[in-house]
Amino acid sequence: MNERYIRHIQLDEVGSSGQQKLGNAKVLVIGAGGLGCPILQYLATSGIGTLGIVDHDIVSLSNLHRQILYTTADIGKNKALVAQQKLQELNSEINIKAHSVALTVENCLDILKAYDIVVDGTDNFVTRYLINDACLLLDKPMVFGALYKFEGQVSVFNYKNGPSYRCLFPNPPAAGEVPNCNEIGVLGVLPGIIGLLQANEVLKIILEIGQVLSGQILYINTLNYQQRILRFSRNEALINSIKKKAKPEAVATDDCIFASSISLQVLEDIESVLWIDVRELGETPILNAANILKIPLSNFTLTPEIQNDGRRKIFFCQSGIRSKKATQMAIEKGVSNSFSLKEGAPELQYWLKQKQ
Amino acid sequence: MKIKVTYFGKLIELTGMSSEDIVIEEASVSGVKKALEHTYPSLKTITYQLAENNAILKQGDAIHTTEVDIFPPFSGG
Repeated sequence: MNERYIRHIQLDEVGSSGQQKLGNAKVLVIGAGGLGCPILQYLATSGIGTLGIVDHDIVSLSNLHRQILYTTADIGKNKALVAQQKLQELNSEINIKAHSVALTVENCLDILKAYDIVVDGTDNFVTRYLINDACLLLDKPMVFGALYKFEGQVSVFNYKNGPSYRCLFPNPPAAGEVPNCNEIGVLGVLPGIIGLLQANEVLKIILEIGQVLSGQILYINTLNYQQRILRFSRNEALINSIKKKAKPEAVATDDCIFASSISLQVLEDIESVLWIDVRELGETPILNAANILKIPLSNFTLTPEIQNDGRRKIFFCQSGIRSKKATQMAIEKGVSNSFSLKEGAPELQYWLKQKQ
Repeated sequence: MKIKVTYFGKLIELTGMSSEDIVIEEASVSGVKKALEHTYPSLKTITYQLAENNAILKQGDAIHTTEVDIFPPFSGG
């Protein structure tokens, strides 16, 4: 008997056989941010045998108040890789796999298919609908959690023929309707609370104990502890229309999505960067260098210079908004290591001068 | 008839309150939506769900109680 898990095993509801089930389980956590960090920590220490982490983003200073796997020394590093290392220190007896890419229409089925349970720790509707549809196609349960300021939602979709996220909200809100991940404040503890409720659902599914939040969505307001557990039913026609597809399609909305941003403050190695200026021709300041491509967003196509080489592809514009769109398009077309510059061309011009 | 609606998420900010009494002409999902969207026109372009007795209501459902919850989707993480 493994002493590490003795307090689990002491529970009649878990026992050695339950701990064995945890050891045999393969769980994928998508997003190693506010929700993902606590989910991953507790699933790792619980002895989930195979734990996958998907995150293409890098650690930034403003993440640290809630993304508790990371320290200031990790700023600028890929979250999936840092998380993998920290979690392996928490529990060396489990297998942890880092997928340091954005989840896309192209790669989602390949990544998800190796796991039994998928946990949604993302912060945008595009990826949430993508995970939902991929889980429907692969017939895997999806443990969902989402936040708004001091409130949270938790549910388990596609569990034993239960309803999916689309049965609750068939389509994502229109662009700009719901504030996105970076535009709104959050008390640091909230993703911890909601993430641990998600981790609890994962353990219940594997251990086959309690009542899984399937066909129900929990709403909780952490300011006054007002709660609801709302029942909703499966929309068979809608689910069938998704299941007919060979692969999921990206939904059309516009939140922060894949636009993984990078700041000049964390950039050190300027040699391994390919800059892509997506401003319209003639916008000033004009930046010229061998490693600066000019591809206006109005006529955006991926040129042969943009390859999956070792270089970081950093898209920039005047203020950091158009560059997000370009980054998203590049990532959706399979260009890895793509980032949107947080700052604009004037700041970049100054920064490049300093580096010369 | 008069019903009590309770708001969640950003609907609290949009309406400026966490719950209120509203008057509806028809005891149905569309009756509640019509009354809400009359008072708050911006709700017409917003995604939300109605629930009563802890069950999400479908478009076309009747309302059987005088307490309805209004929920938007969340996306933060």
